[in-house]
Amino acid sequence: MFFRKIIPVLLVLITPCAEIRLQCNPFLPAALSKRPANYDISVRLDDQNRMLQADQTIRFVNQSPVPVQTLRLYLYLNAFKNTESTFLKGASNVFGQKFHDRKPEEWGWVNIQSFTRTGAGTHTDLRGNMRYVQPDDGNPEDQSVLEVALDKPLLPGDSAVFQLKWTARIPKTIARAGYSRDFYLFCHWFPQLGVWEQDKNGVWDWNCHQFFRRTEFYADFGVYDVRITTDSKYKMGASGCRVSEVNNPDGTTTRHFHAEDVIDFAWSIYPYFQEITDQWNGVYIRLLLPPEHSAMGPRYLHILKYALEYLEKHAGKYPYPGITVVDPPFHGLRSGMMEYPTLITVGTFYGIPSYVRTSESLLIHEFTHQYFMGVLASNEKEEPWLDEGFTTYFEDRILDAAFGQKQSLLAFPGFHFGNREQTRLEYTAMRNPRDGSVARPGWEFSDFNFKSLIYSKTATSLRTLQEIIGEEAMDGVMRAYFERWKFAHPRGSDFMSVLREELAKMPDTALATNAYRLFETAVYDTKVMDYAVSSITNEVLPGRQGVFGDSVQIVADGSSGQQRISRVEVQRRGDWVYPVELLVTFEDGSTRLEYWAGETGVHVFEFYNMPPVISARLDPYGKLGLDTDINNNSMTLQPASAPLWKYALKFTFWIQNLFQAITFLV
Amino acid sequence: MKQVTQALIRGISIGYRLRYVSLIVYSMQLLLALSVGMQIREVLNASVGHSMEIEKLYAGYDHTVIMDFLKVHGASLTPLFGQLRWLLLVWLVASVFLNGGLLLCAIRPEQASRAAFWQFSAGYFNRFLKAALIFLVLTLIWTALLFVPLLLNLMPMLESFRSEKIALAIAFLVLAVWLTGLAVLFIWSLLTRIRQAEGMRTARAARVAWSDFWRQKSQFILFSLLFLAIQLLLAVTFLLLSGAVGTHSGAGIFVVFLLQQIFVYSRIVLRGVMYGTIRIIQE
Repeated sequence: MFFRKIIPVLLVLITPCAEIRLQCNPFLPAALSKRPANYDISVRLDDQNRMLQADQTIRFVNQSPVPVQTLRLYLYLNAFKNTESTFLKGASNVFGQKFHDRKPEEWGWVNIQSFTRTGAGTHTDLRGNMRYVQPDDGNPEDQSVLEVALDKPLLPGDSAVFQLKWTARIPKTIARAGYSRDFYLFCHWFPQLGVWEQDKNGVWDWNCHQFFRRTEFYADFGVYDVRITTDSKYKMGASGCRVSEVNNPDGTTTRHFHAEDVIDFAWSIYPYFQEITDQWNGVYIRLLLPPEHSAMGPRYLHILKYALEYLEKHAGKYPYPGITVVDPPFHGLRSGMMEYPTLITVGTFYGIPSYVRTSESLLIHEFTHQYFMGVLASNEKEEPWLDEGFTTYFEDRILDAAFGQKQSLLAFPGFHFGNREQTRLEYTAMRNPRDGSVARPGWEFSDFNFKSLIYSKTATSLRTLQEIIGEEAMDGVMRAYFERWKFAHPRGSDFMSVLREELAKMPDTALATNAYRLFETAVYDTKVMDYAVSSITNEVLPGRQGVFGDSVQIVADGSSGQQRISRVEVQRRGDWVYPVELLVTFEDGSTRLEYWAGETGVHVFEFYNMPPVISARLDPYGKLGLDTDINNNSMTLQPASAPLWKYALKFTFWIQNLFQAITFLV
Repeated sequence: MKQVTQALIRGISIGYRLRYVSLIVYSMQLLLALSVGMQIREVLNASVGHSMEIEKLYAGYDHTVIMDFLKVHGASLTPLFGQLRWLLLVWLVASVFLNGGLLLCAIRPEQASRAAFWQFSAGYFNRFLKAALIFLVLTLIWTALLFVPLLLNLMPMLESFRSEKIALAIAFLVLAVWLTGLAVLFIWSLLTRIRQAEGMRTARAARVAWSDFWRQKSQFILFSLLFLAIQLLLAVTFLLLSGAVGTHSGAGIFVVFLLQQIFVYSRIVLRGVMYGTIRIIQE
């Protein structure tokens, strides 16, 4: 442990020709994860030809009880090799970017020139054992997954070292990776092991899916020690901390980065980056901005520190020594808005005013991924809701807390809305909110539903859960989930187990059961929630009338004993059954809180001999954000007509101005 | 500058004399606008009029209320926006008629009266319609000339320049050039109609008007800037006043409506001022 702390100091002493710029200490006092997959990479960028040359060492530890016969590695850059890869096949664009008609040098690929297993003085060439596999779609043109048969099995508890030499062509930016002019983002850039784990049936195997357009990444924890040589003109940001920096005689600079207990490593270079550094509670913060975005620096710093503090309070301690934020120049924006361990990319535009907080929102989102992806390293490919949905939920919370509800995303005078409102609307405004469940692999979603369901429905469901059980209990769930599964690979079922256990601690078991079922339905079902108050009536019934008894005798003519009856009709218009509260207000100002299980399609509440009902509101405390139409949750017999006039007159005013504008010439 | 200021002062006096004529134009415009505005109120009332959520709109814009309304009932508004397109066309023709009367009253203030307004409107309608069509076509061409290349090249520019500031500066430059062109077209169109009112045929009036404009271009451009400043001042005053009053109550909504209508009416009066001032500069 001592040596880990002293290594940076020793480096200064033993390398007199090196200019040491220590940013943060990457050597953690103790391993936080099991570190099954560790990488030493030495890579050189050939700037002219957009090529990478690398020597890579992989140290893999078999922590399973079964022998490992093969390796499976991601070769993500091969997804950008041609139009027939699984990633690009059948698509006309990627995230709105056309990729056809590229020059040959603008496509990307990675080619492994040697693959050797080393140990105890032996070197076994495994290159002949390599083959591309397509476990998901059988597309023979796809080369995003490489299988390497081992010369001998790797026994439980044993470790193996593999030496690779590879070359890669950096694509013109596509799906974040690549270059735009002289800006580069190197993400999913090196051959990386899949995850050796038990599948749903308990069988140990590689979880190493092909690269699909709508899936992200899944890899195992380890230590990354990376030496990167580039032209000295570049400024660089990377995962982990910079340990050393050496200017070479050939006009290049080699920078040495180290990161521990992370699942990936990314880096970015640009000659014009401006650097802003700061720290929060021992966490080293580094912002890299193009000069035209320098005004964003204080804004980014403020919200990043806010997010660090918020997440530490409500989820768990940020475990890494630093965080690097890369803001690409606008021409490289397609590399923006992405998360990698201890390095995130954001995105903005020159001159964006402070009341437009999309850049802050992006930063919070990507930073929160350090928790839900980086530390809780769920399978982003098979269960993207676990990272994107949870991240969006905290993004909403943080932004609302920082800037205020209903104005946290946009705060123009007279036109403002909050991040959480927008998240809810992304789900509730779907053309078909029944468009499949949330808990599905990323590749089963379409362009039209993946964000609405994976991000927004999950986040809105978590928010609804929070409203039902309270913020404190929700924080308890999140902290328990974080503590139990940090530096591991939780599945959806693992979160559900934590949720069940934490809810079981609540005194109101009925509420806890309902809350659990609500979230379960939200994630695993396609039901839609829509409750409505459909009518309010007040009647005065005449008193007793008619003939009573055996003899013909009129005992009452209705003039006395009149009875007042008020009815409130409520409807469940969706197929999602959830108990709701109904707050009824009477003419004298008194109120009554009723409860409806919601099981029938329609229910009528009747009130005898009470003052007339003037209004009724379902879900009066606004807990059910999943309800697709909030406006029909309430009804009043004394409607406020002024707001309607306000909008009608506002429209009239706009039309008048439009008239004047279009006829200025005549 | 002094000449332009003096012309503007005289123009203001003409605008004041045209206040009743301006009221006619304003009333026609309000009636047409209300025909859609009131339907929007009916749709709001029928769809969410009894919802308690509407009360949130007292405090100002509420994204959830508005977007839930649009999501569920937005289709009810679609025909109204379709109707608005046709209404704009109707107003375009009607405004040739109404602005013609206003223009004649402004350039012949000694004859201006409500009766003369209608006579002028009817008498010059055909000629002014021709000029209006010509200048509308010119405006479309001018707009297309500038914005089609800009829009086609905006994304490539953003991706090829080192900083988006360059593309942004180009976009603003194009916008400034476009607005300048619009100002020139406006003054040219106005001078053409003034010449038409003197009895010239449309083509000749346009040629002579261009000479008029070119001869006194600096004064006209100076006046355009001055007029723009007055319009901006009016808009800022309106925004400050309506912001100060607020729409948090029925009374507030009513007062803001009055302010809105004063703003609209003032713009029509300013149009009369402009017509009169340009005529004076031309002379």
